[in-house]
Amino acid sequence: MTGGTPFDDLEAGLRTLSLHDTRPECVDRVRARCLKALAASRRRARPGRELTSGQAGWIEPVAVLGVGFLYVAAAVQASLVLLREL
Amino acid sequence: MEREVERRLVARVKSGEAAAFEIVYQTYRARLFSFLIRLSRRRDVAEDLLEETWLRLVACAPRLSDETYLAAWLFTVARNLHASWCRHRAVDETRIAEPPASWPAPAAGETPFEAAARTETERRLERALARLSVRDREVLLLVAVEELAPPDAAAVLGLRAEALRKRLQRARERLATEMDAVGGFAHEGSGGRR
Repeated sequence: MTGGTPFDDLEAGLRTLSLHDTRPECVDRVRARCLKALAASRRRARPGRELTSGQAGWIEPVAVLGVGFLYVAAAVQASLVLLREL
Repeated sequence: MEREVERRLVARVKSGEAAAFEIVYQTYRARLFSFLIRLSRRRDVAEDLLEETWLRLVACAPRLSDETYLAAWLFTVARNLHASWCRHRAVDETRIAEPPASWPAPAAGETPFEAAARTETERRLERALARLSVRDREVLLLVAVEELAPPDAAAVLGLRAEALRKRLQRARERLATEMDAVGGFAHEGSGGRR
């Protein structure tokens, strides 16, 4: 330790430093802006406007199956055409 | 704040509940402002950074992890915003051909909140803190004033545990030196915080 002031006294002093707050008009302005932003965020998150993670998880496998079915159908059709020609 | 209470509060903030935001705002507003004003030494800057910190919380709320520790999250944002402000300030100072500085120099003379200190010891402590570099000041403010657990303070500062321990030790030594330079502890009764 370089200084003569004991660390324990310093730590105790730091723990008891006063708490400062902003001016009331600043407190109210920040609160109003944040509440407005929160309300906008809630509106954006309303059901029906966006897919929930459950819906997104359900749609993807169905889409993959659908595309797979179309691919297999096209392959069968091409095979039948080939067979007829033979 | 108890961990389980905080988890429930985070979930409510994530869902955009105004009442939950109000609880967080009441709990941390003055702590964040005190942290920012002691870092920046300027009320206008501290107020701007405080406002931005809260707006970031609201903007990021839906993406918060359920395990978010609000104090650490808020102090990380506030500290990063202050660091960013310091960098911009350094650029501006370079433009006007003043000596570039990564961090603001300690303010000269007595600041309004030093003047508002309740005791002579507190006044001297504020003065000694003001004479430290921001790097020293921020670690002391987080660990000793805000009483964040060392792992949380390390996360706020982006340090490993060992680096935090060393920085804290150096900061304590420098504060002790500065405290002696401003007259040391006054012999008087001291009240509790808040």
